[in-house]
Amino acid sequence: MKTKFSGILTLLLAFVVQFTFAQEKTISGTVSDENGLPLPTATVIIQGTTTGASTDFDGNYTINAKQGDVLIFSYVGYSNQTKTVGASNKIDASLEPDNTLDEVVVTALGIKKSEKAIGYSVQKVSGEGLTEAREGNLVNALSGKAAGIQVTNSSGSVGASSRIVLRGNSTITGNNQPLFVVDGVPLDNSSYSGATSTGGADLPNGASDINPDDIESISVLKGPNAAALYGVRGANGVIVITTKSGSSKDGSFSVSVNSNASFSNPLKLPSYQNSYGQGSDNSYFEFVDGANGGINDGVDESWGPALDTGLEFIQWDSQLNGGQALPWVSHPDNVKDFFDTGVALSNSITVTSGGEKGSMRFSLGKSEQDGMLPFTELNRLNLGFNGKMDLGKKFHAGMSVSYINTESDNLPIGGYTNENPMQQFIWSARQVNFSDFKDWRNLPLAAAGTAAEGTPLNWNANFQNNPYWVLENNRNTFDKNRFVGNIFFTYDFSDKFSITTKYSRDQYTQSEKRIKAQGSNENPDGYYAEFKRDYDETNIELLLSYNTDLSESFSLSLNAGTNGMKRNYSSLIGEATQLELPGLYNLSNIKTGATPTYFNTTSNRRINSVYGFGSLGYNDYLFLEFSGRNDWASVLPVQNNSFFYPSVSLSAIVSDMVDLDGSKIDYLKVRGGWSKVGSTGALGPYNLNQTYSLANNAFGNLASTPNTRFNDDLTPESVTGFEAGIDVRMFKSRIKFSATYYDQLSEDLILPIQLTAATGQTSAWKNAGEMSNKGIELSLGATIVQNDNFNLGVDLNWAKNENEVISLGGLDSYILGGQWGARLEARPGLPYGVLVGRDFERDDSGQVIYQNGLAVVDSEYKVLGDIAPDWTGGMSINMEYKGITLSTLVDAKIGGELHSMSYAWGRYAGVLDETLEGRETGIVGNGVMSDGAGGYVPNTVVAPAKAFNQAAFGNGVEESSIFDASYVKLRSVSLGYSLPQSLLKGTFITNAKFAVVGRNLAILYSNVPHIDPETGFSSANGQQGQEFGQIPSARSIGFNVNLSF
Amino acid sequence: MKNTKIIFLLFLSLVIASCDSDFGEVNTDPDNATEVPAHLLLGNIIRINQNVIYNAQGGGDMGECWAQHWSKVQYNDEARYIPRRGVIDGIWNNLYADVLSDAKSMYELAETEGNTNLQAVSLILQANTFQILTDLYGPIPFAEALNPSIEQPAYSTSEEVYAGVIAMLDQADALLASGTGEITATSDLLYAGDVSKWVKLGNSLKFKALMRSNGSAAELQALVTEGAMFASNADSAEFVYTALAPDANPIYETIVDGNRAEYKINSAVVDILTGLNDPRLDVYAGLNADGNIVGKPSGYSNLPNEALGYTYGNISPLGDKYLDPTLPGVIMSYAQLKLLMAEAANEGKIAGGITAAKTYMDEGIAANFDFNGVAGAAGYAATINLLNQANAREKIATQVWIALFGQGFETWTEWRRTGFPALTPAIEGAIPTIPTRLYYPTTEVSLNQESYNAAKATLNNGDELTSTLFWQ
Repeated sequence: MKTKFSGILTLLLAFVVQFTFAQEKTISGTVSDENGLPLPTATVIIQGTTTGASTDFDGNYTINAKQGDVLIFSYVGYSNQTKTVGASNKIDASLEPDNTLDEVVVTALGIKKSEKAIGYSVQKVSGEGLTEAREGNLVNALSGKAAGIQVTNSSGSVGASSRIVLRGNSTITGNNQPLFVVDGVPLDNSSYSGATSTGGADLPNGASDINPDDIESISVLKGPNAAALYGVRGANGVIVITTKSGSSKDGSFSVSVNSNASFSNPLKLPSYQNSYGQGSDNSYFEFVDGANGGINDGVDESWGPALDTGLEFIQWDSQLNGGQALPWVSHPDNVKDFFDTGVALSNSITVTSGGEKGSMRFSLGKSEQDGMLPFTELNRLNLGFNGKMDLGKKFHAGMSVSYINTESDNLPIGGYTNENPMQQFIWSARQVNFSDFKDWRNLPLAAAGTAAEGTPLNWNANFQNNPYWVLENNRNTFDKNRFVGNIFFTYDFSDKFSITTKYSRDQYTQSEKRIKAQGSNENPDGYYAEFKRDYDETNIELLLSYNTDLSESFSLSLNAGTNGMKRNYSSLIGEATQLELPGLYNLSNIKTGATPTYFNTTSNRRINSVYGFGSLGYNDYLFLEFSGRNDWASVLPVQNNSFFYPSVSLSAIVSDMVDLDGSKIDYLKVRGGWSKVGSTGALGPYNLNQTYSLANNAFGNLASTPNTRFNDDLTPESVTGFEAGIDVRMFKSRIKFSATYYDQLSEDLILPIQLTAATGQTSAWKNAGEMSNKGIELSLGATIVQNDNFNLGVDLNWAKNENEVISLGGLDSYILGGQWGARLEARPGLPYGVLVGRDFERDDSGQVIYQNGLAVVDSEYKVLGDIAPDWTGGMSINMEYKGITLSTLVDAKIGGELHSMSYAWGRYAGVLDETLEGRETGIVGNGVMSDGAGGYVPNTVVAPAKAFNQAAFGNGVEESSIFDASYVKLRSVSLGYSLPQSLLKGTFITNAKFAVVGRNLAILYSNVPHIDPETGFSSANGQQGQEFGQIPSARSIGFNVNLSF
Repeated sequence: MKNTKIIFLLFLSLVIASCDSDFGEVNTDPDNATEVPAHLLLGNIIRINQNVIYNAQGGGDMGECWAQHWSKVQYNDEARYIPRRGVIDGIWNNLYADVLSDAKSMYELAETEGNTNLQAVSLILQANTFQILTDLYGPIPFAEALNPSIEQPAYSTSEEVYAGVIAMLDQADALLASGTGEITATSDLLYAGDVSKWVKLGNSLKFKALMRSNGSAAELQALVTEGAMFASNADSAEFVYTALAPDANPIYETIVDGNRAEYKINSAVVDILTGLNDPRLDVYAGLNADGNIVGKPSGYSNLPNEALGYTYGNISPLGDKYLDPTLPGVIMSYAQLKLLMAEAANEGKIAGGITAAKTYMDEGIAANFDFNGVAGAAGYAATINLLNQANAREKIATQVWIALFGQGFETWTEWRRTGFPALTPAIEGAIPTIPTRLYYPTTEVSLNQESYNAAKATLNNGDELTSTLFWQ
């Protein structure tokens, strides 16, 4: 009896003791690195549970655990460490850096791969910097961030498009921009910009819809090797964007709020002359009606009388001052004062939550941007949801949905049109104070009988309207509603074999209005047009994956899949080219007798694909990857619409294969690959068969035959690429270096080959072109200082691409675009995009020939330059000291030329500071003149400044306005401060960061006078390398606050 | 768990079921017609041809300014013989690819429809356009043109083109004589379907072509004898524009709608018409700021020029009639035919000699006065005495120059042919003489290199404005 009881008691005691031992206690400690320095935000997890904690800024943590629990300490870039909870309540951990740094990279089809296994060049851009910098257009944010990326921001207008090209242009007329993919869903990046050298509003490109707050990371897959898995659409590379998903594992939710305010001003404005005013001669000036009713008052040039010398003339504002003559003085800041400070405000909030079974993320972002040009704006609303769920052990599902609304009441118009106020500043009167026109409602009307009759007074009533009146009344509205989403299911048959299906959709409706009030110079009877565009793309994908270890040394992964793509586009345009009643902008208000015009188009296409890819790994240091894909594209003729393209790549981690101890090399990988990708180039739907088009006008419904000859035997284009490279990490990964060499050949490029019109048609579709891109990409990252609380790192990237148009199928040149007398062409033997125009006549030693003091133009058209850069690069310096971070980015594009019509006309019209020379004395041109006997002597004839400039600049000669377009820009500087965790302890705030960010702060080097050399009329192929009336690019400074709860 | 499996399988089936491959149908254009009735092409052939030759930068800056009907007080590089190459390229491209190509398609469609009348109309319009092209450029692709299997057509000589033009007009005449098929009135923007007028146009164009190419007197006389050419102003081939852009006369659209006030009257017109007491001057020219008719001579680079008096206010603009949006685009007028007949009679190519020449000239003058809405034709004609052949030659050609006011290219062509009236080349012109042809398009040298080089070699000064054409 007694024994039993004591036995029970002992057992009870043991249980009690056991229970005591099993009670949770608070464990605390410090996590530090191999040097004893604390690691902030390191993770401590109890093995087998979802309980975790993270270390604070001093590396300290606390966690509730039971004795016997195993704690896992981890930190990015370091090897995990485990420690078992014993009697002590203090457990410290010291982590060693993980020199193998097995990074995970997102590659084609959203598949995450170990960086080791990838045989081609992939560069990663983190999402962090994007949120603070808050670029209005995501494409601009990529400039300078990775080797080989060429970004050209068209202009400083709100809603300006940006063009991005990876590794050079690979097709002549087709799309040269990479495919954007967001979470595995292709995202349409079209711009529908109507902007050209003669006008039109530049519209934002589709990728700018992405909310930067949603971006986790961006992988840039350059070249066909990387993109072979996207088939036809990946021929120019792919930008794979992964969005943030909910991450917490313990069922809690966190909220993050970001608020940003940025202020913009023009980065560069032309240097105008301020010594001479309006007129074509300096005799006299008298304003009567601004349309040549007075003396020099209709002239839109500034070769007139001298300013600031005490002269007084009757000017446009004399009628507001009793009709008397007013001082003839300069207003040097008249153009600068015209611009407003652009203000962009953006706010976003994201809520994430997660648990064992899944995670969710909601985001809401709103941004409002007022442009630098008065009355221009762009607003955006982003709503996003992203979630993943485990439905049982084998089933996973996920969904991602975004709704984006982008709208504007008025987008600016660029190019050579008087809707662009910049034109009025080039064909201009330097003495006019343009801000005086702001209060147009209280100004009298322009004189009767002039072109501006009925509209508010302006300095010129012949070719221009009051600039503020134009911007406020003539509207170019934009409204885009976009839905992007996908839903997927994955079923794991076993831990080796799984199947995923995904359904995704990108669709949007875009409406635009173009309003021109009656009295507008180019539309005296007014104008109204409405555009409606509908786009949708559906992708249905099925992927089977098999991963296994064939043996101890060999691992294998195999995947097979299919994808069906369907894309539909339709547009409806209605135009009332003259209006009956003023101020009523509706198609019913068409002027009596005018014919309303309307157009509607449809275009549908399909691509069905089947693909397979896999990789074989040996000992985790040698990997062979292979892929094959077959596409059937509906735009190609039925007999040629199937094409297969393979790719193969090899990657060897030499540092794991060979003993490199002793050298400072931690990691050395050698990689190489070959691939072939197809493309449909410029070919769109319905380009195979001849059809007649109908057009209705006042004469009735008239038919006409097309000017392009169709070809029902076209074959797909192909891009074949080879690349090889190395990746090295040294000195405990403090130095990282990558180099890649690539060689890509584009063949059978589909071109509408121009024909002489004498054949009855001006072009015929053929597979005629061949182009090559060869280049080198280098990137170097160095952690220069890494100690205490201070880190200093530098990242450099540099790329050189040599592009050559090898052949145009026998043609000598293909015209891509042009303005005035200049043409942008593709010519065999030269890079894509040569500027062709006229030079001056020159003697044998290259001196310009003058006749009667004026330069003589050689009427023969020649290649005067090309727009392809010699090399591009970027450098970013990042510093971190305690909670303060400072990062700067400088990017450079060196080489290439551009044609500036602002310079040509600015000199012709006498408004630029170069035209001051010789106004009183005349100019002796620097060159030679005929000696009358077949030879040349130095030119001694004095020519008046106006005649000299008008002979040497303008639309009669191009060479004098072509400049080297190299530039180096201070792209961004960002200074941030994260509040220390010690301050936040006890508050509900888990993270607080403040930052001051400047973008496009300075042009450190440029050879182009008066304008920003980074320019284009839109993101289209033919609109590059040319400029007129550039709406200045923006220098912006902003403040960003980011709080997490 | 079972439910999720079912959902998954359903989803999978959705995936598989959606892969179709009816690509042929997908790639069929739902927005454009693969067939049209032949007559629907007729409207554009006429409209585009007229728009091209009346374009203010073509027919105006080059035609009217070089023929010295018009003059400019600013932006006058073109008038000083530095033409815009882009405009010249556009004339070639539009006439070949939009006018001739469509005319040929219409001919072929009409042939399958069995509509010989429409085939004839196509031939007449093709002949007219080919003649315009060769008058402007010289040797042009003709025999090898419009052939889908020839991508680099060789150039035919101007003589060959004229011979071909006359042959087309003969063929058209034959087709119309026994013609079947309707010329749909709504598509026929010249004659609203009246076949008899097309016959007259064909014959009148043939007369002009023969006169221009020094054609045989026998053929000319045959046309006169047959009597199937224009008989009155009602027969003139005029394309009537509407009152509003973009379907108004291109001259109105540029000068009035586009606010290009720099186009003015040339002093040559003012001087010559004043000298002849020609009342048409009041229709051709408007009043300047002072209420007078003052013209400006061609040329001068420093414009506007207060000192010389060449300013917007001082020089007369064009007359209201010629700035009217509904001013017709003339292909060939009855007045021109009569004046050509006068010249033919004077040269002895048709019967009647100088007396007939006088009669024909008077009829032409009367017709043109009528077109301009001016009275007193008879009295005016009475003051123009044809003394002898040489004197008549000059006077008739001067009347032609006056009557063709507004028809830039045609005036310039006729002036190049006859040399009358005597005109002084533009002051400060880029070349010392009035141009005698247009440059070939800038694209020909790269798109059709061999043929271009061969043609260039046949021109006496290469591909320049100063090379002369065979009928000069």
